[in-house]
Formats: sequence, C-alpha cells, structure tokens
Amino acid sequence: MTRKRFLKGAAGAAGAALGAALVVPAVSLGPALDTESLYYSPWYRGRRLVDENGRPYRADDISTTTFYTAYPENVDHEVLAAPIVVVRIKPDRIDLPASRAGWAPEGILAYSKICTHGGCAISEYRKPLFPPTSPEPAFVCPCHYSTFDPATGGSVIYGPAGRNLPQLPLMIDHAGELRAAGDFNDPVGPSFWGVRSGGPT
Amino acid sequence: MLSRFVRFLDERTGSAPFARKALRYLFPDHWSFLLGEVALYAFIVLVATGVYLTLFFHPSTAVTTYHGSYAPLRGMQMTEAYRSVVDISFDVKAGLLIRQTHHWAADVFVAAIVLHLMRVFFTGAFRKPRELTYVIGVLMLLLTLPEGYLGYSLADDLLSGMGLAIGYAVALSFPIIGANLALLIWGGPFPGDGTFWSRMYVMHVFVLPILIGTLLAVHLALVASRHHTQFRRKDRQSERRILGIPAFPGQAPRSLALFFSVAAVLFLLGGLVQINPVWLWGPYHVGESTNGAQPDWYLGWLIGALRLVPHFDVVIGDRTLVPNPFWGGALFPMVVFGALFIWPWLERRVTGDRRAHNVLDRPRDAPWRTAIGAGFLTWVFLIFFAGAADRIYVFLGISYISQIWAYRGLVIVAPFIVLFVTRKVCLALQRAEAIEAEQEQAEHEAARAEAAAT
Repeated sequence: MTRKRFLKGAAGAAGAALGAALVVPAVSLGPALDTESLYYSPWYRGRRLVDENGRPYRADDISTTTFYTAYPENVDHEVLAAPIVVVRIKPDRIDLPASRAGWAPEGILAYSKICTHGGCAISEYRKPLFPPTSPEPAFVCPCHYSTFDPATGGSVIYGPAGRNLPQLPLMIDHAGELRAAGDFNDPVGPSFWGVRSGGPT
Repeated sequence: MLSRFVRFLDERTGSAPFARKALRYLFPDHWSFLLGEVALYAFIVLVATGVYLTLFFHPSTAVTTYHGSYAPLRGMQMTEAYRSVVDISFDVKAGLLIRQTHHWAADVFVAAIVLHLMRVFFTGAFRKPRELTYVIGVLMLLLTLPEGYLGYSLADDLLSGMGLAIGYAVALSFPIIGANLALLIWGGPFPGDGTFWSRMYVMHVFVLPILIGTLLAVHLALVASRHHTQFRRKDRQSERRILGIPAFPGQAPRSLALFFSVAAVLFLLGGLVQINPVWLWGPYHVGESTNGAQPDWYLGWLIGALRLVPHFDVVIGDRTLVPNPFWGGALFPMVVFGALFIWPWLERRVTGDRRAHNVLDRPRDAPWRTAIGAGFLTWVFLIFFAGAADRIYVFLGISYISQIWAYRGLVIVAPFIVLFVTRKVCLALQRAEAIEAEQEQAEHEAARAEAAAT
C-alpha cells in the first residue's frame, strides 16, 4: 500500500466515523423511529363531547342548520386528534358503511376536524358543488378546498384529499349528553407511510 | 483630512492597490443590472429591521393571557410568541412600522431575486465562466423561501398555524421516511413539542440568514472577479473589452441613491400599507382555521400546485407510498429548482458551446433558450395563479371548480403554446433585423453613389 492510498483510506474512515457520530445527536431531535404518536387519539367509549369552554354538548343542542366543534372532555385541545365536527342530518339521508351501524344516533354524526390532506381544520359546512349535483351541505377545508360528505361516512367528494375523514362513533347517554362510543375508524390528520396499516407497527 | 485617513488605512492594511482597483471597477450601464442590487438592499433592510424585532419577540409557546392595549383580544389565551407580536404591533413604539417594513422587505427581496434571475437567464449571463455565480444565486433563492415561511410562521397567528399544518403534511408525505422526518423536525406529532418554536427561531434569525449572507458575499466576490457581463454594442464590443462606468465617481453615488430609494420605498410601504395584520387573524389553535387564507406571494405557486392535484394517495397494500401533498408541496418545487440548477450544463451539452462568454445574448439571439424559459415561466406562473382561484371566485364569481379544471388543462397545454410562439417571435425579430441592416447598407451605398455622381 502506498502512503497516498493509506492517507486517503484513513481520511475516508475518519469522515465516515464523524458522519456516523452525527446520527446520535440528530435522533435526539424527535422520536425518529417510533411513529406510534401519529396514531394517538384521546377518544374512547364513554368520553363526553364538550365545546371549547368545556360545556358538555346535549343531543338537543345539535340542529341541522350548522356544524359544531367539539373536544374530548378534560383533554388538551391542541392535540391533532382532539377537535371534531358534529352535525345532525335527516336519518333517511344517512348512508354509512354497514360496519358503522349505530354510529349516528338520532342522525348526529361526528368526524375528525382535521383535513386528511394538509392538516388544516375544517371550518366550513356549505354547499360545495353546483346545487343540482349536491344540494346538501358538506365539510370544506379552506386551505385547498378538500370537501367531505358527512352523510356517506366522510367520503371525499372534491379537492385533493386522498383519504376519507375519520369518523367518531357517537352515543347519547341517559342525561341526553353526547359521548363517544369508541375511537375513530382511522388515524387522524394528513396521510403518511403507515396511515392505512391499521395501527402502529 | 481624507488623505490622512486613507494613508492611515493603507499603512496598516495595505489596502491602496485593492481600493484603486475597486474604485476603477467598471459597471455596465443598464438598468437591468440593478435588480440584483435591489435584492441586496432589501436584504440589508431585512437584517436591520429583523434585529430590531428580535429585541421584543418571544419565541415561546407558553400559554399566557393577553392584557395589552388591543381591546378585542383582551382576556384571550394565547402563546407568548403571538402575544409578543401583537405587543410589537400596538405597544412598542415604531414596532408596527418595523414589523410591516420587515414583512414588505421580505416580499420585495424575493421578487427582486426572481426578476434578477430572469434577467440572468434570458440574457445567457449564467454561461461560462459564471455558472458558479448562477448556482449560488439559485441556492440563495431556494433559501429565501424557508426563511420567509419561518418568518411569518413564528408569529403563531391563525394563518401561520395553518401554513405550518400544511408544511407538516408535506413533510409527512415524503415516501417511506415522511413520518420519521416530520417527527424529527417537529419533535413529535403536530403541533410539535415545546422545542419546535426555538428550532424555527434559530433557523430564521441565525442559520438561514448567515447562510444567505455568506453566499451573498461569495456571489458578489465571484461577480467582481469574473467581472460583469456586457450587452453587445455596435462595432465597439468584443469578448475581451469592458465598457461601462467606473465605481467611483460613476456607479457609487447611483448605487447609494438606489439603496436609499429601496429603503425609503420599503419604509413607506411599512408605514402606509398594512400587511399581515395578525391581530385580526387571532391566535392559532389546532381546531381552528379561516377562509380566504393565502400565503405570502412567494409560496403561492406551492398552494396552487397543492390545489391542482386530483385526489389520490398512491397505496401499495396497506402502505401509503405517496401521500397526496407530496406532488404539489415537494416534488413540484424540487423539479423547478432542479431545472434551474442544471440549466447551464444542460444548455452547454445541447448546444455544444463550451466557450467563455462575457457579452450577453439578447433574448432573440437564443430563440430556444428564450422559448423554453418563457414556457417554463408560464408553467410556474399558471400554477401560481391557480392558487388564487378562490379569490377570483370571490371577486368575479367564476366557479372555483371550473377554474381548477381550466388550470389543469392550461398548465399542460399553455407552456408549449408559449414556447412555440416565443420561438417564432424571436426568429421573426432576427429576420426583421437582418432586413433592416440590409436596407441601411443599401441606403448607404445609394447615398455614396449619389455623392459620387454629383
């Protein structure tokens, strides 16, 4: 081995070692390999729906003319899976997948408020398309106009979103208050590698 | 007095030969060479106003209650970051002026860079021996985008939070590694852990400005060492001859006047024209958003691209290989900047022209380059305008959905039409010039013949 080749090899090894050493501080930046937190949801069966001031929602509060933002009781509102939109639709219009029977008591439905495209909050409940094609209001995200139909399980009817809006099953307790009847059917928020894999792996 | 000062400096630094050379440096005498200077002066205003803002801004997401002088927000829960920006706007004397000037300067800075880039591209100024200068310039443009994005995101108002959510979705959308990437950047799932604001802050006020400033210095040093390019002038021009006005006493006062003008315009804008009134947007919460949201203009092309892509995720089995935001938010800018970076080498390979060029082309002199550049610009700007389709719907009532379909067609067809037409125009201009020259020559000869006859 010549001296030149030896020095080149040594420099290469030193550079590689330095590069490898940089990985350690870099992984401290966040949970690099553990993506479990992306599947987190604070909702479970029995959790009450409250408004932004912590007041519980009663089923009678929900009218068909507008939408309501609700949060899980006693949970930080700044968690992506916390905010939901609640609407009431005439039961004969509701067309949910068979597996979601009973998710909409009295025609009241709840969906994640976070758009599955860009992660913005849905802030509109309006007629998204031309009246002859879609006379009923739907959820619209103001960032890129993804539009989700609450009557058919949050399906995408317009805009760039690639996944339906996750739905939250509801129930009405003996006091007439709204409670979650379980967790969302799907992870909340924008899509990623494992979003359709059924949970953290 | 002056000569004593100069001697003092020279004896201690040996700077006289350098100064003599610098003062005699010849600047080309054409307005389009000032676009880069406008960007430079906007950068100086940005640094100056930015330093002032750091004296009052708190990069913290600790929750606090507002008690300042803007009544509609009083008693509201908000982060320290947002509160300090509202305080800068209402309770710091001259705070609003400086904040708005900073914001305007950012918009002008990027605009000036883009115009400068267009000048450099369409005149072929990027050719040998100036490819490095060009690449560093494109790199600076690339860095200004996250710099500006982080700047308005730091305020933690409702609009900036929505922008960050989209940024998070784009990070998540990278194939395979997206989830890990986003979690590393945000320190956890959106809206991130407590360290995220300090990360944005140090990038915005330290890392990116230092990178831009350093590249700026290298860019200017390279310009001076290879010397400016020259427009062709009749008869007197050659590749080895430099015509222009000297740095002193010619260009220096001009340049100084330009600096003062840029600063004056930016401060006038900052003082008179409202920009990003964060107190009207309110603080950001994950569960809130507002309609009619638009980013600053230099990110408009990305929102347009995100809105134009039809709804699909690329799924293999139970794995989501390409989530939708990747196309518009990541791949599209990568393609645009990739094309900008490789252009000088691409052109060289196709034309086989390896010579050094100090004399500029006029756009018509290189019809293919001009045509491709115009088509490329059309493509990017149509996507930019698609991002404003919702505003057009509000102002003119043209259906948003029809507009999006029209843009989807236009972004595919229009660039090629523009390319074809531009090339024809260039060739026609060349022909017209040849005819004109011929005519001139003939007139000359006729006049000479007439003179000889009499």
